[in-house]
Amino acid sequence: MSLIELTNYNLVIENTSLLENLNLSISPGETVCFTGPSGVGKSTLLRNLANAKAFSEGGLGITFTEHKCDFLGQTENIFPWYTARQSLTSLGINEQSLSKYNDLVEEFEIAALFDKNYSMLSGGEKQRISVFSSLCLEPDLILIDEPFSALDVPLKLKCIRGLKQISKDRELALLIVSHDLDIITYLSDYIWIAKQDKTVSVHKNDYICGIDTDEFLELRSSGIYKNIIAAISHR
Amino acid sequence: MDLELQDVFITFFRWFFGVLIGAGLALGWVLVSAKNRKLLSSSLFIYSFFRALPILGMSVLFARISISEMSKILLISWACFFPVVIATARGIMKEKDDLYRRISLLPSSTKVVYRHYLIPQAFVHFLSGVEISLGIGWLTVMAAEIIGTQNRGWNRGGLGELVYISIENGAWGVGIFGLVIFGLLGVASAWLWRRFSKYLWKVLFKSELPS
Repeated sequence: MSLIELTNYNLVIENTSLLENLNLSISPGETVCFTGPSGVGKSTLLRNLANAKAFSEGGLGITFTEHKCDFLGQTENIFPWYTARQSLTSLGINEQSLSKYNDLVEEFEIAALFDKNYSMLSGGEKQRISVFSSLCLEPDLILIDEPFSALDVPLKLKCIRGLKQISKDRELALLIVSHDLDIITYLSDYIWIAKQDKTVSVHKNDYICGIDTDEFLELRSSGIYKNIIAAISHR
Repeated sequence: MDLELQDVFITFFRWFFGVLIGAGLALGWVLVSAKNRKLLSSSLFIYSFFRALPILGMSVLFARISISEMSKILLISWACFFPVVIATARGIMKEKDDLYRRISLLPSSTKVVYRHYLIPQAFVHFLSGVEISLGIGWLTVMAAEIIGTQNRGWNRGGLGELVYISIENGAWGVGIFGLVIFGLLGVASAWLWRRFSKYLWKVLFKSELPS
């Protein structure tokens, strides 16, 4: 049973057709990375899916099953007038729920950020708090747009590892829009590639089959990137 | 003509009550019509129309209707109403951003949307609207005080009338000094409002006012 199913779906914005005749689906526990050239309609599709679920808008050709869904866009995902902790509380995440995710707090390096005002958080800090808050809400599916685009490589790899671990442990499905090859290769089960001809092709991710987290990190930190990543890692 | 402290106080009170009534009515009206988005968005055109009417022209109209103390205050309220109502309405209507989408997906979305999103967002815009209307209030005071200069409420015409008459009669010193006082009052009121906004935000939302 799919969490989302697109059947002959056409993505049209202000009378302009961006993507046509999409037949795609996401099953529980699956991670799908949606990539392709800029401006092809990836983020718009993600927003439309969120609109269809939240407001029942533009949902012709989109079928959702009954499940908890969260959406993280490219702009604000937590309340800009609150501290990070207040934002989490306002979203319904109490201290007890937070304590369940101490490991993730460490992995995402966000312990020191909870009492900072929104305006004091950097782009990367906001992204980490947003993804963390989404995981604390324990949805069945998260729609995420460029989740770690503002992070340095070592921290991004740690966050990817944390996200992958939780999605596997909890059968959490993810639909991630990203251009980031680390996210696409390491995190995804399937890759959707949007093309200029308005179609989307689906590929099973066999690129790193059988490689575990440590191997991947080792691989990622080797070769021509070895020295620069080692330098950045010395925080 | 001599400038007395009483003139400044009278002008200040007219301005204060004018802004208070205008901003209060604007906030009340937006909150009442908040649920009816069509009414809110269509009325923005009407606000833009009335906002553009020249204050001097309106002061003549108000003088035709009444030359009482209340008409002076209502003219200031009139001018202050529109910046606040437009800013606050836009704050409420700016809703379909990523955060709004996100919280609309939550199980308790209605409560979260109103309590943690719409109200704070509208309030941020309301505070900005009031800050603009403070200045517009000072701009309008003089026009309001010229209404029925023979009929002086509280037996004084106020700073605006004093400046007007002084300059008309060539008493430049008093006139320019009066204008400087207007400027200082404007700076002081904006500064005090910003401090008060931060305090009010902290009391209401237990956080720092977003910049």
